Amino acid sequence: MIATGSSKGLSRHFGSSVASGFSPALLGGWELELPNLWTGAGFTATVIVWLGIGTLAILITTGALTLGKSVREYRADRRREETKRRIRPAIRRRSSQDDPDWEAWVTELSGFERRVAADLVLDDLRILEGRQKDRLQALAAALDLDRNARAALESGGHFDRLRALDVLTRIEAAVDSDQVRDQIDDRRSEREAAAQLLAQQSDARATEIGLELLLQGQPMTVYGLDGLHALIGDDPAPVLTFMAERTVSSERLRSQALLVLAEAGVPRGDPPMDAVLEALENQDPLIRERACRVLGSYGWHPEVREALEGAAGSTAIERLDQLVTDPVPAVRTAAYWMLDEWGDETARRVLAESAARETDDHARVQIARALQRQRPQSIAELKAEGTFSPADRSWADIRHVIATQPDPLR
Amino acid sequence: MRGSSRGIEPPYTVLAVDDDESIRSLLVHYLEEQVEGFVVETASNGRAALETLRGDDVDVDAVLLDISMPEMDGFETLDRIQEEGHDVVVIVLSGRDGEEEQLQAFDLGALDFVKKPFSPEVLTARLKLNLAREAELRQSWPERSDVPTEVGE
Repeated sequence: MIATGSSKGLSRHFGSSVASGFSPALLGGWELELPNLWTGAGFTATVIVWLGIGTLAILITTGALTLGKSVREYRADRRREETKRRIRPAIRRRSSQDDPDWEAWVTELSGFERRVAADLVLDDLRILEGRQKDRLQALAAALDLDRNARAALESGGHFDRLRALDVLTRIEAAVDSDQVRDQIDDRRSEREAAAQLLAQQSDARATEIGLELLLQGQPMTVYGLDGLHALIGDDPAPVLTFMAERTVSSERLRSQALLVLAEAGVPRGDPPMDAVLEALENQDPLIRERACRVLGSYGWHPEVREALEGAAGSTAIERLDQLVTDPVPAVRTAAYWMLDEWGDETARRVLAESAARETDDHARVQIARALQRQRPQSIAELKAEGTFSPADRSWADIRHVIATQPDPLR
Repeated sequence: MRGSSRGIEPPYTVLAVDDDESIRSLLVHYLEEQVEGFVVETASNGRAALETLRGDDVDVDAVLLDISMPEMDGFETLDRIQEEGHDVVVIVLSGRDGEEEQLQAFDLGALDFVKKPFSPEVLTARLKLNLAREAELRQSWPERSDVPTEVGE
């Protein structure tokens, strides 16, 4: 405890207090025993006082440094914004001209202005198409963006490489896919950024390496899913081949790949369907559900039909029954959606049979929608046609639900 | 609410609605400086766009409308534009161009759908074409006395 008093009084008592370890002090007429500053409790108090002073000094210094840094950053931001406001109209005006003469313009810029110009070019390349984009690509070349990005990819740190991959993607640079794979590290962010760059290359090797980067390692982020969409383009065949021949490193990744495949449309050629068919047997209901969504587009595929409906002597027909009797309603609903997409006689028959036993409301709505689309006649009309079967009654009973329920898969 | 009898003629007033400042400034720059006959107002979301349309300060002829925006997205804005009877040509500018999205936009009254990234030149051509068609349509209204209109509100 520290008592305040006149410094003269304190100093007078100081000398005599050393032996006892305490020093008396007068405060408002009360005599207090003050701790000796050099021994026992006094020493502890001194340490606490100095620690307090030290902490305060650190806090003040940190505060001053933070404030200084903030002011510097604010000034830099303001300078950057001012430069942007000045340079952006010039870039846009020139990029509307047939001959922008970027080389001459760039030589007039300071180093700082070039960096700002680079950011503006990359920003506009994101939103532009056509002739203006072509002219901005020329400005990107005049600003050496390609060369600088390749150098950063070669020797920079993690964030330099991420930025370099983004720059090369925006300027649509042609790259050596194997080299890019060797230059990045194993972090998901770099793998995904590299996949975006490889998605722009037109060769099969780039697609193969891109798939390897995305479908192995950690699960994909949204950026990775977007990269997979970009790699697939309008032909999911390479993904089906990859999944059949290579290892997808986790069930989560397998599920993500199926999600993208379900939206990717019909593959060209005759890619192997093994991975999707195997996914129908997966322990995870989400994977089974997504596999059904993928197969909705592939009903024409002989391997798929044979595997699901069963060729002569095969027991594969049980698979279709397995799907429509899956214990998880979401899987059954997806299977009904798949059959609706197929839309043929087999699909209609299985749907009608399923309608008789289905108990889940969402799944019943899906069956009703599918049958409504494929067999819109009333029972009376079916009887008149002579095509009525007892299975038709069950779906006709729930037909009224169609008008009031949203489509469960949309 | 604006009456439908107002004619459309240059200079056209275009309202660019996008939460991306780069796109807004690009549209202002291109339509006002690179081509003739346009004045551009901007809004960063659907709510601000509706306020501009409801106000008396500007007579907007066309709206370039983004879909993904904070506060009020493009679809809801388009719905409100129709509901409130604003007599404007709406062209949707969107990064997503799926079938469902395009159909929804046309369903809600958009006259055209442009995918981002876009060519400013192509966008301007489509904008001019839609405005010319709309002007032609409105010119023909007085002659079609059998068609009930909201003229005179």
